[in-house]
Amino acid sequence: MTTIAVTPAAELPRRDWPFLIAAVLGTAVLVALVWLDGQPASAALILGGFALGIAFLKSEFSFTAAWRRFLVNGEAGGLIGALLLIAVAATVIVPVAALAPGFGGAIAPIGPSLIVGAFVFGIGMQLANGCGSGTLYTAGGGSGRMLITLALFIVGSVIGSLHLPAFLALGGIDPVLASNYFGAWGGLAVTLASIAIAAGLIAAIAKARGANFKPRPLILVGAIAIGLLSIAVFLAGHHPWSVTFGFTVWGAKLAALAGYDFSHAEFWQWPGPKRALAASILSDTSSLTNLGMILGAMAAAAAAKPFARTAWPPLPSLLAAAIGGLLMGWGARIGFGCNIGAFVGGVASGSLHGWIWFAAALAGCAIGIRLRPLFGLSRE
Amino acid sequence: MPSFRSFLRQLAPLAAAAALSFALAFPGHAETVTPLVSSGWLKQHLGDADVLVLDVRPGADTFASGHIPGAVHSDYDKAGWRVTRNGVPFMLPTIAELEKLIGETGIDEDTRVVVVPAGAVFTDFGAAARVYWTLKVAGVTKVSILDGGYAGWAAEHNKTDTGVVKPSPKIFTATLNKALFVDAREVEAIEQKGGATLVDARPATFFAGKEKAPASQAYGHIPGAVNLDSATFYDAKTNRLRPQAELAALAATAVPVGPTVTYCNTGHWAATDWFVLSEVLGRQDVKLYYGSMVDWTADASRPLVSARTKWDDLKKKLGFGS
Amino acid sequence: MMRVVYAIVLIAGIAAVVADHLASPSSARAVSPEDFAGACAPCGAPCPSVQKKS
Repeated sequence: MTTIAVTPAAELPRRDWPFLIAAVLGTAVLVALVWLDGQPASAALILGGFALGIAFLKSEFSFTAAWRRFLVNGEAGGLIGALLLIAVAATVIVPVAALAPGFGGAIAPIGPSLIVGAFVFGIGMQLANGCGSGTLYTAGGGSGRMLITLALFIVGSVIGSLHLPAFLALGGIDPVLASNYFGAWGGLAVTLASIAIAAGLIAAIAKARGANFKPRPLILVGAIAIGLLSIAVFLAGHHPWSVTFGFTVWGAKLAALAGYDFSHAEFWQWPGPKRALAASILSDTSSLTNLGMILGAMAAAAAAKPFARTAWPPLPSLLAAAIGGLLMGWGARIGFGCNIGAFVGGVASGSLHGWIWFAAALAGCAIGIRLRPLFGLSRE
Repeated sequence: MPSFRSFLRQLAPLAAAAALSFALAFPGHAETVTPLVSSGWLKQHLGDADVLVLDVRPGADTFASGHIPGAVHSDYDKAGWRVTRNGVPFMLPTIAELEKLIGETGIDEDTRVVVVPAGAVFTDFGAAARVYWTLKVAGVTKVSILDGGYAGWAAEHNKTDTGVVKPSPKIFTATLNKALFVDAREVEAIEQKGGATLVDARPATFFAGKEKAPASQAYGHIPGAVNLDSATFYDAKTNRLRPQAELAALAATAVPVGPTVTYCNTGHWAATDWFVLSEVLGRQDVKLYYGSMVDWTADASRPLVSARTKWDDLKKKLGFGS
Repeated sequence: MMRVVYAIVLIAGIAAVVADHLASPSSARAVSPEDFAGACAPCGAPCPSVQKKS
């Protein structure tokens, strides 16, 4: 006698059509606006972001959880996966940034600003349960808690923008870029070697702690997909994928609308930020990919199951979300980016600041992990 | 029966009146050339040896179906009053081109030219102003515009002729009068360092960047310019420039006294602003940037100010905007 | 309810982006702050060596 296994109706995926349609429609509207504005590259950035949202959501590619597992258990699969992602992106970003006019890598000065900012970001990301990319795809994916983080991330970014000039005044050295010292291909070799060395060290630590260091298949697929999409975003925008500048602009535009006067803020007189504040949100590369990613994650989440049907977490958890967001926003501005802009972007460009950012952020994570139980969050 | 003497006495006032009007109608050769002349004046001076009536209305057929007696036709659009140089249209011709164009029309350095616009709308006054300016730039000193144009002449039921008129060419040697114009480089210097008021003679929508001339590459106005629409100087009801006092008042509020440069899209409307400020109101140091916005926007590195938004761009893209 | 919050945020967010875009000055291609000369970071900050001089 044969038995046929039947999946109970409750477990079948149920598309959440309203949110799926809204996400796709919203994306279509934004793409149409930039297309009609004669900016196909902007359309590519929105769609690239959309695809990144899907990739992150489907592979559950979390930097935050991966780093926490490594620090707490020595489990290195997620972290190695991130390094693979960066290596994939670097193969194009290092040489093209060095050789092609109009293209540039992610660079940053090395000094107190970088270290303090990254450290504070690290604390924040563990309280928030997400980093730059994590906030985008988790909020897009239907986590109300992450909406709070996103809101405070935006607030923190604006505050950080007002403090950054003072931190820069503390001093530092000009960016250290591998291709400047070793040429385009030498720089790539050095970059890939540095990634390999880091992976080796991390794997060794994992082994010493009796933990796994091989990424799960889903993480491997995700890493390669995200790496390739990072290349696409780089080629369309002429600079590596960046997340937190977009938040900074959104926050500043809202503040300006409410009457805040940025004409005395040094950050907002630098040519890049000044132009971004005056021009359309859709003419900022970081905003384009951010919007695309939120909507892509929303579409992917709504296509798989009912959207935002979970209960709100308890208040202490929401408090951690808010504080985490604020710290990440501030830290990202002071530290020249988040896990994507500074770590992935920096290392994939062959810039030394990427590694320093990583080390300082990891140290901040250690502190953040210790603070988690205060808000009722798990240590793992 | 009235005596011959009483007859003469009755005639005296009439004779005096006749003599007076004779004197007024035929003043001496040292009479000053005014920038504008009336139909009445032209009627009196049509026969003068040095007067040449230059009808600049577009279209040979328009001219042939009715023109001022003795007038010569020079099509404003086609005769070569504005030429394409270095890919930019509607520019000032070269000296050689000017000598040929002006000479072949029958004008030389001594000719007293009366430029005749259509007289229907402020834009055709601009055409006459641009021809007036071009003649002065080339060194023809005695130039006037017929106030009211051909329409004004015809409305007063003056005699008109039909058919084609062959001009009697003269040899004309041009003397370029650089005090009347500026080029892009000089305007760039003014925009950066000041030293003159830039006057934008276009309608407000062009100034704001909501509209542009087809030949222009971009929207907006030159940074620092003031807007003085050339139509402001024109009285649409009478189809003439406004009275001098009104022109002076309009100019006083809009343009500070001092070095001035007028421009528009192609140096057409701007010629009216130049004519009013320089010729009618007698202001010093007023120049025409004849390349205007079509020339200015040809170089993407030159700055522009506009209130144009992406909504304006979208409206144009979708077909219901400009 | 979380869904309601999301619906409001989504609609308000897209509306805000569209309004900001249409009200913004007519201009050129998408840029990042690094596109501007002298930028030494993804936010467009100037380099320490430049700052020391000024």
